[in-house]
Amino acid sequence: MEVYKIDLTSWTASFRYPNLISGFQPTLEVPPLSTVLGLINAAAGSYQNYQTLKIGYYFEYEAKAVDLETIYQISSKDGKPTNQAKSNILNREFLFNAFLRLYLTDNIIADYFRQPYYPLLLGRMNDLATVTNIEKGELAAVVNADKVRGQIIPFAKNRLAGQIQALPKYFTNSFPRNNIGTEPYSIINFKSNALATGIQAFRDELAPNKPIDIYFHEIDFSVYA
Amino acid sequence: MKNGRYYTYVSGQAWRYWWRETLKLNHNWELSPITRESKIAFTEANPIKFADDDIFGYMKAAKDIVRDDDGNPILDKKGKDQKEDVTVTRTSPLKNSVIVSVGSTQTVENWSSMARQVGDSVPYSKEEYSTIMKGMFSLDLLQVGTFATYNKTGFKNLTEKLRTEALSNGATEKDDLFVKDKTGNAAKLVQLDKSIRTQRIIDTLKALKTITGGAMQTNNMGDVTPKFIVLATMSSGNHPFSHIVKNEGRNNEKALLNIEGLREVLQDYKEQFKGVVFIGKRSGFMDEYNDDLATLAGEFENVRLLSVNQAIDQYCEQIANQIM
Repeated sequence: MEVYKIDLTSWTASFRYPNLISGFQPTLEVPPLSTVLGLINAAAGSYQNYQTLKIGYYFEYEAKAVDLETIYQISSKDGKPTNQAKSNILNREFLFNAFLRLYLTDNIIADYFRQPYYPLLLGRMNDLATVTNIEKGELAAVVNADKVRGQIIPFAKNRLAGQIQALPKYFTNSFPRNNIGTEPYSIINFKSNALATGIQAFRDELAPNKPIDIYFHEIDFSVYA
Repeated sequence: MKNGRYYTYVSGQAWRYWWRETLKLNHNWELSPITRESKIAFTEANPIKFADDDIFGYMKAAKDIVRDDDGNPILDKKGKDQKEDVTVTRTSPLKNSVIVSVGSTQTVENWSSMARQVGDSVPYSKEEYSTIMKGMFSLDLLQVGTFATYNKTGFKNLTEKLRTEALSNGATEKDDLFVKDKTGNAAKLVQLDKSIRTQRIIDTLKALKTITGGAMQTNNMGDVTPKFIVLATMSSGNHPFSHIVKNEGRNNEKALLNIEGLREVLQDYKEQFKGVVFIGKRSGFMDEYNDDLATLAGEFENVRLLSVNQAIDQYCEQIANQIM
């Protein structure tokens, strides 16, 4: 299959758990689809209304650490914030020296990354990202892929070992924003060992002798309209 | 920590705090109030009045009672006051990374004692380190002083009240390139006067000359102003300079400038740089690169090599003419 590979790096990255509001904030080890599609929107400069989309991506990092943040907790009365603010400390996990490779079949989307409209971020405000490479490549199909790592795979049907999390695919541009297509995914860390799967994937080489099987998410947005 | 080696760092949040405080101290910014002192509300979410709300962003979640034209609350089916979401959010046009050591470093424990009181002295220790650190930031020129009063991909910057205030005080309306209203016309962004926007951008950049904070100043007198800086205006949201410093050595402990990487970026993104790229370096810092940098500056017509503060000042002069 012919694909466009887009490589991004950042010094730091963090992807919050959608279900944790307060207390310790761990980071997911692979970003959800909604984060990746948000990144594409930032590069494009506007909200993309997809009919369908085919996308794969691989994510790795060098280390994990914990940051201390100051937060201001503002008390509310009748749904309105009052003038009482109390400062508190929050532990937030983050990833160091992150690398994200996107696989796209659409040249138009790939081109957005040649001159992104908004500043690109991998996670939050402080996670500035850099596009390091954009290239066209050919990926061979693999049946029963056994090198699926650094990715998220839908849990239904595949049931792969990994951290199970309900993750959104995208967000609406309504007010407030609603999540779209949330379903459980297996989050498979890039360090995971080879595991036999029944997945049809496509093989890429991250480096010589470093093969990786990429799962392509095929999203039909008309289902959620 | 990575591969058993330690990298020290300052969180991005801390850097922003230093930046805000420096703007208050040296550029007379009146900061948006955050905590209550008798009658002041927490952060006003008023980027028209407060430059820091504009540059650093905010989120203020709130619900308000819907009122009819006479100011009476409209009731819902259950006879309760109907409420609408009046949350305002602004993504910060100023994005900054964490500040992290270029090479791996080791902290040492420094023993001190507190002995000015009667009785036993109190020993205490703190961790210290000395290293070269890197940070990067970007400032979105199109977003500074420019606000959406409608919902733009789930974000709304201003309340209706502030919009009216801004427009009656010299702000203008500007077409949004991406968002259309129901009738198919471009939605209108509110934009502050060019002079105000320019001032806010220049203040933000100039604050880097005197930025101070953290680092246990009392005992260490850590100077956290930049010693090497690259400033450029780009027509892109990419951050291409992230790899221009690197580390080497048995424990990756040596910090090096990646001159070749810098040359590559200047070459690869030639079309996306607008005007001159200013490189500032403090004399006495990494002097071994003086010749290489001079050579590099000689190769490109659009590169100027200066001292740090000269680079910031001259870049500010350039940017004043680049803002639309």
